[in-house]
Formats: sequence, structure tokens, C-alpha cells
Amino acid sequence: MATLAAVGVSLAAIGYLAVTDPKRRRTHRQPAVAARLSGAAWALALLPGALVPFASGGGGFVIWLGATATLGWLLVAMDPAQLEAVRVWMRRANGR
Amino acid sequence: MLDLNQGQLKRLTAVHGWSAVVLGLLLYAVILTGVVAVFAGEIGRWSVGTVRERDPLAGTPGATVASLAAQVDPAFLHEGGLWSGEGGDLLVFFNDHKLNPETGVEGDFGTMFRAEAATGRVLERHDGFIWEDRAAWETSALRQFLVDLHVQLYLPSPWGLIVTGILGLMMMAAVISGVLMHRHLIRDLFVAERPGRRLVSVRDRHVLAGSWGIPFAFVLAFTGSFFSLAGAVSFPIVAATAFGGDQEAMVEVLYEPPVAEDATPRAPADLDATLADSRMRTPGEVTYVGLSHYGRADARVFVWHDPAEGGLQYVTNVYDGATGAFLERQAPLGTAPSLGGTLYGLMAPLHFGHFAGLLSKAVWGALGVAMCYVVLTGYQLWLKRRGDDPQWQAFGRAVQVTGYGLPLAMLASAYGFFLSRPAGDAFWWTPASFLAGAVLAVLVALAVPDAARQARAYRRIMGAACLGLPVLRLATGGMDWAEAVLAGQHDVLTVDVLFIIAGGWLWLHGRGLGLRLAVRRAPAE
Repeated sequence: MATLAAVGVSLAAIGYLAVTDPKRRRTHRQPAVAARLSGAAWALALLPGALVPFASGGGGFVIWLGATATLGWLLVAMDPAQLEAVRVWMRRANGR
Repeated sequence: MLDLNQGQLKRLTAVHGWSAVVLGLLLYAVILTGVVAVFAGEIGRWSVGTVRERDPLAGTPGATVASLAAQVDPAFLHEGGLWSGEGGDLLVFFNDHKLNPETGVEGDFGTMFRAEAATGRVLERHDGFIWEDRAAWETSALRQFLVDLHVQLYLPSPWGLIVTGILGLMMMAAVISGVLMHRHLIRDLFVAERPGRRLVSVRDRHVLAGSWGIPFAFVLAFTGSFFSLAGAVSFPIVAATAFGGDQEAMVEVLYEPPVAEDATPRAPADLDATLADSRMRTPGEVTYVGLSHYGRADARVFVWHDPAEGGLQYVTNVYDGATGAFLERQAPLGTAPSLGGTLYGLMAPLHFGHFAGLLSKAVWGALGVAMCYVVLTGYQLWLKRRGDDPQWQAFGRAVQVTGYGLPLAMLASAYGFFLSRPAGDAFWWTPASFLAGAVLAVLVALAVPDAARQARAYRRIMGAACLGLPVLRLATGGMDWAEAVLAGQHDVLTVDVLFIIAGGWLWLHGRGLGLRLAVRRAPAE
């Protein structure tokens, strides 16, 4: 459970880093964001990896690393339009 | 990152690309079959589908083992082992070592029993060089074929292992050269594929998937090539140079704590009590029990456990087989704990990914799929740059046939297994059906030359094949879902449902897979 929570936190931080990433926004013709807390987001993405071994052992750490790498890639691979569609879908699902 | 000049970068790109062109399709085959091999246990239980109310090694196999030991040639009590079958059956093997005249090397010669764990009733008995007779120790020809395809590409030993070992080394080289070539690894870590299906879009796709997969691609390639080459090359060299060619002596030094020879006959200790003690000391499930010098004063029992929750390392507890006394927790390598031993002990869990049950297997499976994607998008990039050349267009078609043909052939092997199960030799028909599936893939390519329509045809065929597998399994005598749930075989239901989902998705929504590999002319950048 702790491992899955750690993956969730890391993915949230990766999602923030992706949507505010200057090169990504430039290549997809989006305006740059005014302020970006990249240091804090990187820390939030990596911190669970430092804590997971205490809660879930070495096995939990390896699972965190593997799941974060795979799901992080899938998240980042979505272009802004796809991410927006997911955001709208989640908002609608929450509203039900 | 290293600051490479243009010439160095060009050479590195050539090495990265050409090594993939020459060996990449074989590497794709090893990775994709590896994804399937991660779930070998589930595939075995799904394909065999017999009643399994509890793991036989979680019970009390002591009386069964004692009764079977009395039925074999006393020379075979030199070594032995027991492990669980797919259902409520237990496999027990007693053996000695003998030169196999057919292979020309020393092999395990003995008697293997498949017995009902609850009653001790012998279901099958096989004598001879057991590992040469797959039907003696493997109940699922499908699982055995798929694993063999991954381990040695179904080539004869040791050549298959040498090939997969080289492919592992090549994958490591591709990872390292990819990292060196890509100067802006961190800066491009969040750049999604640029729109327009341009050359740069394909590059984004390959680089993004490759960058996120770097650590695990390296780890899986390293551990995979280690397992392939250790058995086929390294250990025989060590045995030849340091042990005068005696591999058994080498194994004793590397893996077995030294025991003073004492051939005095002695009644074996209660195996059930030994297992109970081992379970108390080590929380992970018992997966294998090794026996040495059964019935002698210097007997030893080795109880292998899966890692405990949160752990990575497999644990082996060693007991005195005559008194039942706990002796030690065995080091993964050598006779005392060491850094090398710990690293060696990490190889298996990091490669097989089954240290935390289905969760770690799911992650490993996903990592494997991601690596297949890296290989295929690498081909897309290579071919996009050479779209005008008819020879490369032909190569692109070959890549597409392999990309879709391999999973199609694996599905065909499952069809061959189920169709031959009631009456035929599944060990022959399973690989034969794989070949038939590969031929079908080529025929589809010949019948439908247009790349987009061809890809759609492959997806439709695979979708139909996935949807049909659970039906075929049932029709050829497999468990129905209610029976499977009641008999504790949850894998039967899970794998069936996964096939139905995959089949439906491939049939209805397969168009967006993005795996169309045939060459199209790249627009000018």
C-alpha cells in the first residue's frame, strides 16, 4: 500500500513537471508558464523513493522505481490535448 | 553527458543503429517472450488447470517423500529435490550423476515421481536422464515452450544461451550508446511526441520511451546476459580451469557448505518438522526443498523460500537431514555472506521480477512491453530516414511481419497446445503450431501488401485468436470458471478475462496502436 501511495505521489509530481516543462510547451505551441516550482517538484518526485525502503523494504523500492518509470513514461507520452481530455474525464467522473 | 565531437557522434549513431538492424529483431523476440515468461507460473496453472486447494509444499509432504525414497535405487539418494506441480501434485526427484552417452556430458540420472501430495499416490514415474525428457518434469508444454523460447530462442544448448547472452550484451551496448548520443536527456524527459508524424515526431517517440526505460533496460539486459552466459560459458570455463573440468566439485564449492563425509546409514529427520521450523524462521513461501545424502548421517536439507514481504532476496535455510537441527541460512554464493554473494543473490529477483507476487510481475511485464516499444520505435526512426530506398522498404515490411507475427505465433502455439492436449503430443504440437502461426503471419503480409491494412488485419486476427482461446481451453477439457474459483485456481479466471479484454481491444480499438512500421517518406524538416 505504501509503495502504491509513493508511486501516486511521484506520478503527481511528474505530471506537474510535464505540464509546466518549457520545452514541451514550446514544441506543442503552448505559452510558457509564469512560475515553475521545478526544484520542489523534482524533490517530490524522488522523495518517495528515499522513503519507500523504510516502509516496504528493498522490494518496495524496486517496484516503486519500475512502476514510476513505466507509468511516468505513459503520462509524459500523452500530448497536451490527450492530457486535457484525461483531466476533463476525471473532473466529470468526480462530479458524478 | 560526455561532450562528443561530430565524428564520434556519427560513429556512435552508426554502432547504435546498425547493431539494432542486425540483431534487433532477435532482441525483440527475446524481450517479448520475456514479458510472457514473467507470467510463466500463471500460464502453467491456466493451461493445465487442475484442482489446487493449497500449494503441496505448504502441507506435509514428509511421509510421501519417505515412501518414494524407499522405491528408488539407493545410489539415487545421493541427491534429490521436491517441488510443487500445477495442481495438488508434488514432483520428487532422486538422482546420482552419470555420463550421458547421448550428450557426452555428465547429467542427473535417477527417478522422478509425480505424486498426489494429499495421499502420496504415485501418478507418474520416470527413470533415466530426466532433464532430457521434458514430459517427466513439465506438465504444461505451453509454459515450457514459451520459457524456452525466451531463454534460448528454442535453439539447441548451449548455442541458444550464447545467442541470448550476446543479445543481452548488445542491449546493454545500445543503452550505453543511446545515453551517450543523447545530449539533452533530462531536458527532453518531458517532451511528448511532436505532432505531424514527421521524422522528429518518431525521434521523440523513441527517445522518450528509451530515456524512461534506461535503468531497467540496463538491469534486465545485464542480468539476462549473466544468466545466459554463466551457464553456457563462464561456469564451464571456471570448472575447466580451476576444478579440472569437474563441474560437480565447482558447484559444491560455490553453493554447498562443506560437510564431513559420513556414509553411516541414519533414519532421516522428520521432513514436515523441518519445513515447519523453516516457515517459522522465514516468512516467504517454500518453493523448493533440496535433499542431499538422504538416509545418511551427513544428510542435508535445503529449504528455499520466496522473499518475505518487502524483501528481494530468496532465502535458503540449511538443516541437518539426520537430526533435523537448523544449521544456517545459506549465502547466495560461497560459504559465507559477502558483497559478491549479495549482488549474485539480487540477479534472479531483478531479472525474473517475481519477488513480490503479481504486483512485481505486473511491473516487470509492463517494463518489458515498454522495451519492445523502444525497439520497434527505433526501427521506425531508422526506416523513416531511409524511406526512399526500396531495400529498406522491404526491410520495413520484414519488421512489421516480425512485430505482429511473433505475438501471433505465440497465440498459435497456445492453440496447438490446447488442440493436442486431449490426444496428441503437446510437446511436439506446441512448437509446430508456433511455426504455423509464423507462416500465417507471412501469408497475411503477402496477401495484404498495404502496410496500414496489413496492420489492421494482424490486429483483427490476434483479437479473434485472443477471444477464442478461453473457449478453446474450455472445449478441450479445461476447468470452467466456477470450478476454477472453487478449486482455488484463480489464475484460470484471471488469464481468461485478460485474453477476452485484450481480444476485444485488439478487435475494436486496435487501430491506434501506433506500431505501423512500414516505410513512409519523411517530409522535409
